[in-house]
Amino acid sequence: MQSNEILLEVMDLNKTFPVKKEKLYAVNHVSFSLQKGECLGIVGESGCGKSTLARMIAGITPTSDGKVLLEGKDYIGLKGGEKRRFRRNIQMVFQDPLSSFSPRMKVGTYLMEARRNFDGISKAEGLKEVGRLLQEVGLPEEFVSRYPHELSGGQLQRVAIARAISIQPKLLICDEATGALDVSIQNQIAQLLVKLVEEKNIGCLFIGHDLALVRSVSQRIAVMYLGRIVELLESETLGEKAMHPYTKMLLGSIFDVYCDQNEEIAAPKGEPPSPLKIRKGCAFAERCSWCSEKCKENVPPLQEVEPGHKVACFQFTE
Amino acid sequence: MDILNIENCTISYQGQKAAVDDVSLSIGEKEIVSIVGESGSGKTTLIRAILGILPPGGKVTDGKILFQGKNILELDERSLQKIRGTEIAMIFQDVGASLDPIRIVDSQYRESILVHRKMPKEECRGLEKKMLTKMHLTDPERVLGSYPFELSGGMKQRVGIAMSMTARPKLLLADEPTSALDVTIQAEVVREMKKLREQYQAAIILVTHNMGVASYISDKIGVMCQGKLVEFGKRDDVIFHPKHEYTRSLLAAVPRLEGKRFAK
Repeated sequence: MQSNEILLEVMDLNKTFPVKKEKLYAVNHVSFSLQKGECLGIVGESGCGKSTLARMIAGITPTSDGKVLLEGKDYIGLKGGEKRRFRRNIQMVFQDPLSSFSPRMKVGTYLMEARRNFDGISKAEGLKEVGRLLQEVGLPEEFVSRYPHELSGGQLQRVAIARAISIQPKLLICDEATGALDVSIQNQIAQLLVKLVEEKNIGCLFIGHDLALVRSVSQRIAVMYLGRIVELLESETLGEKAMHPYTKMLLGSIFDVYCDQNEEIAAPKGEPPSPLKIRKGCAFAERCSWCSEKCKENVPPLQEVEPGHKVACFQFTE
Repeated sequence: MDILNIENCTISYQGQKAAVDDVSLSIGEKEIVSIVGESGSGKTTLIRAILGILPPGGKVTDGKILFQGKNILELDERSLQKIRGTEIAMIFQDVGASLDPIRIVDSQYRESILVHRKMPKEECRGLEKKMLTKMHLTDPERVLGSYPFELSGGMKQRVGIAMSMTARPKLLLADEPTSALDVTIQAEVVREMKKLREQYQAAIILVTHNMGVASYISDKIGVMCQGKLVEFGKRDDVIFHPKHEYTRSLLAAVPRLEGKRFAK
């Protein structure tokens, strides 16, 4: 369950990449907070900056500007040993499990590596630990001596999750962790993640492009468009309460299994502009049917429209 | 009349267990049929066999594939070559990878047309532009002059569909054509594909793992599981009254917007 303790605070975070003589705004003034035991879903299309955001929070990609606090501690600027020791607090699970494994390392060795590194435990202790971990993620103990290629995608993803939680992180970041899996396996992994987050009272950022799946594992959802959060709302109410024209466009593009075949699909206007060519004003303006003169001039701030629901659109925040 | 009949088809890869096991299905003219299933269920192997482009080691060991009454498996490479691209065309998941990265679209598009018939360059370009416009690419001149890397994923996919439809094939095979695309782009491509039937009188076989897309676009749906076609029938029957246990579990697993949430 969620407690009201704030775990992670992201304040005005920016990331720009230099591209030739221009600047690419990958993440643009992003702020949010996350409570312990809470899972925040981050959705958006490719290139919207969701992975860059995750990597900055994990400390893999340096930030350009802004602050990130974990339990009130600004850890971005840490150096040397202090930085290394802090790393255990934030762990990541990636999309493609096979490419994040060393092909010649057995599952057992892989799983105890983090503990041996951070806690200096012995191999024998590690082995005991590994058995417990495998059990926790629902895998048989004999997997200890298997190689990655002997496991299926879903099993590997369970191992990756086991490794991530082995050192008791405070924050777990899942970057498209279920993206490469079949639907039935997807659900199992989603359920496992929800269970672990609840039991261990850790925070979780769940990044994905499947709105329905992200909704099913998270308490709140942040919708990103071209580097900015355009809407932040409770997952439960995503279908009914979504306000931002972009969120609605995403929702309109989903094919429901029980859809009416004769219904025309809402035609999304155009494609997302290149992040190199962001004009002033609202980034969504040229694809938006509501767009006014003001939208073309000013960037709408992310403002609360009701408790727990923020939107960045002048249509609602005027 | 059926345009394609697959009869008791079994396909295996060098001595391994059959990847496609005794599958029979038929596709009528102008019909859109989706084959759904999880990875490794044999759905891609099945449609590759129709074009005779199985990966090395793959072989149809039993059964028939009848295209307009003719058994494709008995044709030699030359006759197959005549059918490929003109009567049966295929689009792949990642069109970007099947385009030559160091040639502009115009040059490779023209090549694909000239393989099948002679045509002056000017006329060729006119046809290319016409096809691209039909796929709602707003600036065909620019697209033709671009290298593949200059186009977005959705644009490349539409170029791929346009190229495959140029010879007006009677049957289009589409292997996960929208899986690599973002949801909004996917919606557009699916819409274009649905229109192909009216525009070109073509039948389509769509291989996908996205049940939502299959449900929206298809007249009939086939469900594959471990090489077997466990269910095949009209879209409404399969979606609303699935008979096989596996189809039911597959449908239940699809995340839905108003569906169950795991998180509290």
